[in-house]
Amino acid sequence: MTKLKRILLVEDSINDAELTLSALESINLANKVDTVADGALALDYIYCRGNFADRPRVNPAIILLDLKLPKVSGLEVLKELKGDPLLKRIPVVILTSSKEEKDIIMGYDLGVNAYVVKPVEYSEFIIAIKQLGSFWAIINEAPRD
Amino acid sequence: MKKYNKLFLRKKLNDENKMTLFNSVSFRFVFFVMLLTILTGGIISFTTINISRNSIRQEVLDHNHTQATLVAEFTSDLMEVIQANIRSFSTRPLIAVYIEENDMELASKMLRELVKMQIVLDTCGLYDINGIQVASSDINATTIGQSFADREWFQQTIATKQPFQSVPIKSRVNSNAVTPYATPILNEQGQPIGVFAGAISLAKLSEIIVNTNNNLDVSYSIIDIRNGGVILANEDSQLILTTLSENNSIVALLLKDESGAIESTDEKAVKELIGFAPMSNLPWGAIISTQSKAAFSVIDDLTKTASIISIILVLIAIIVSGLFILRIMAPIRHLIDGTKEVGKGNLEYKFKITGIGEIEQLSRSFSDMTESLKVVMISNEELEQIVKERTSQLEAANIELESFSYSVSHDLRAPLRHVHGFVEMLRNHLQGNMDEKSQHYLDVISNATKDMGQLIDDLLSFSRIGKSQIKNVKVNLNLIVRDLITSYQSEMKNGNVKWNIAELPDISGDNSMIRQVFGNLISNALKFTSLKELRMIEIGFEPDAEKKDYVIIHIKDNGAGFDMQYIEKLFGVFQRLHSQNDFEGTGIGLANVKRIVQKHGGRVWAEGEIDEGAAFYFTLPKYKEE
Repeated sequence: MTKLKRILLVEDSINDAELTLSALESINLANKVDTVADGALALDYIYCRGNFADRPRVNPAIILLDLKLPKVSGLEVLKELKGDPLLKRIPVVILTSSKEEKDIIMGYDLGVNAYVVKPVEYSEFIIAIKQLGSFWAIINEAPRD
Repeated sequence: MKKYNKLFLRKKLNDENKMTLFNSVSFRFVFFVMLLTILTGGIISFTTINISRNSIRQEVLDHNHTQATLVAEFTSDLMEVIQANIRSFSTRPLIAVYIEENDMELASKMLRELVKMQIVLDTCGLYDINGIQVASSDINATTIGQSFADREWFQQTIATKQPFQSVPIKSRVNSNAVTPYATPILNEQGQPIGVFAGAISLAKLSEIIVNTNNNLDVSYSIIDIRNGGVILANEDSQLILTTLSENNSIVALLLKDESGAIESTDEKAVKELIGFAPMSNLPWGAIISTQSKAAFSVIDDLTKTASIISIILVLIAIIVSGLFILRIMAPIRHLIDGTKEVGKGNLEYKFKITGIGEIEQLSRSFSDMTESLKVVMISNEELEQIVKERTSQLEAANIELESFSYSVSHDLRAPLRHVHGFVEMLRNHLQGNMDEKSQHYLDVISNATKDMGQLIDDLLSFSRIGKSQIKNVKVNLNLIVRDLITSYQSEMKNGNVKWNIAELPDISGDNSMIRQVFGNLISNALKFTSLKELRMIEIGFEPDAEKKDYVIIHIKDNGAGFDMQYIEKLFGVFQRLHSQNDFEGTGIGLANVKRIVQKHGGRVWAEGEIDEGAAFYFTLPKYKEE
């Protein structure tokens, strides 16, 4: 059995990260989830540099990306990823509180694969994350590296 | 100058409105003077010339009439003498004797003496009772022995035994133009035994009469008015014996023994002024004619001279008025240049205050006006600066507000989600180990976060309406209403509502915003009628009397209604007239309705009565086919 790819969660809020992780756990995903707290760390992770220099050079199965992030914003991270021919095929899902039309448009213009607004209601939030996780990690077929 | 320049840049300078020669005051003034001189000069000259012409015509006609009368009298007298001479000759006893004895030699000698004595006579002759010429004053006469019995003068004389003045004829003796005067020669018993005839020479007659005329422009004629008027005497010998081809009216008047003067046109279309008079003892008339051209030559010359003088006068008037107007216009031109400069923004321009009276005043006022303008300009510039500062402040505030609403959307929602999320996680965690009170507290926290989430969403939607631009398109209200009712019916299971919906007109506006208005009002109607047994909702429209191109739309229900006392609060943000326990809602719906309708240029109002129902009215622009 080949080693399962990991899921990268880019989320600066510890609370949100915990909520998301708890939701993902509840669907018993086999994939491991790595969490980083800002855009700069996210890029380090993906490019295997800085703190992540020792990371095996395997792209994550999916990146769950918040928009409002310290240092480098979610949209900037997205722009960089989708501009890199080696990385642009990694599925990226924006997971954010913002319903702003301009954010949605900008995200899709930059080539995001999905845009999900975090529901306030916990049960809805759990449902959204569960669906998201099972869709991207299980149902969706991504190109092999 | 620089200082004011940009203030003037905004308005387009009226430089296309360039002055042309024809719309300049100078040109018009000179033209006016020219017109005036020509008109007055023309009218005066024309009148004067016309009056002169008329008086000259009358004078010439009078003169010719008088002259004709004089010539007629003169000719009449002359002929009287000649005729008397001939008559007395014919009554000489010797003549009768010569005829009876046929002594022609002596008779001829006598006749020659008579002709010599009476120079007007061309020839004269003696004729016997049978009309045979027996003697002639002409030695070379070849007519002796010939018969003259066919001549009118012979036949008349024998028949009437009276002297007869013949019509003019060509002499049979020598072919000269003559008018024979014949007298009978009577014997002692008074019976005619022959005729004595004297041929009066028309050439000599003309000579005598024409001699009295020394005016080249005037033509004298003596005519025999029998046979349509035959010319007896005229300065032009060619005309003698010819018949008058024109002036039949004159002959007719002469035949009636009338004298007078008329203006007439001959066959060559030459106008003549003709005086005429008959003769008392002869069937003759005198005609004096003057060619109009000759008569009016003086006045025509005068007209020419007057025309030249007029032209010169007009030219002088133009020059003088031109110089005059240029002198007046100089300061005005200066003023125009000045106003143009000021118009371009050069408020420092100095006006030269010159000119006469009003113009000087005008310059002065304009100069003063420029000064006042300068003051206004400066304060205007300051105002402009203030406006600019305020605008940039406002823009900054707007940007701030936008990022604020973004923050609200993103940041306020996150902790809310956390509270709610962790409450739920806690609930799961404590599953079974919770008493009722703990359960209740968690429910309250959970519901409060839900409400807060709704409030945040509503606040965002309200501020979005304020910011967004309307996209004006044709909006089909019937479609919107149908869609909304369908969706609410399936969602809320409002099967027992009695709908009364009119066919609504198309309006012009933003489709999604209008949908929001109807959505809010219809859901309100459904909400507030939910406690009624029989629920009635009516949607209709009527023309707007205030704004002709708008239409009033209303949505009425028979629901909970409201107290008109609080009408002011009805459309306020987060204002509610019912408690949350009775009817749910944040109180943003009607505020949104008001904002959207106002953005479309419409008005919104409501009527209501507690427990009886509410009616909401709003106006929207009618759709107009382009």
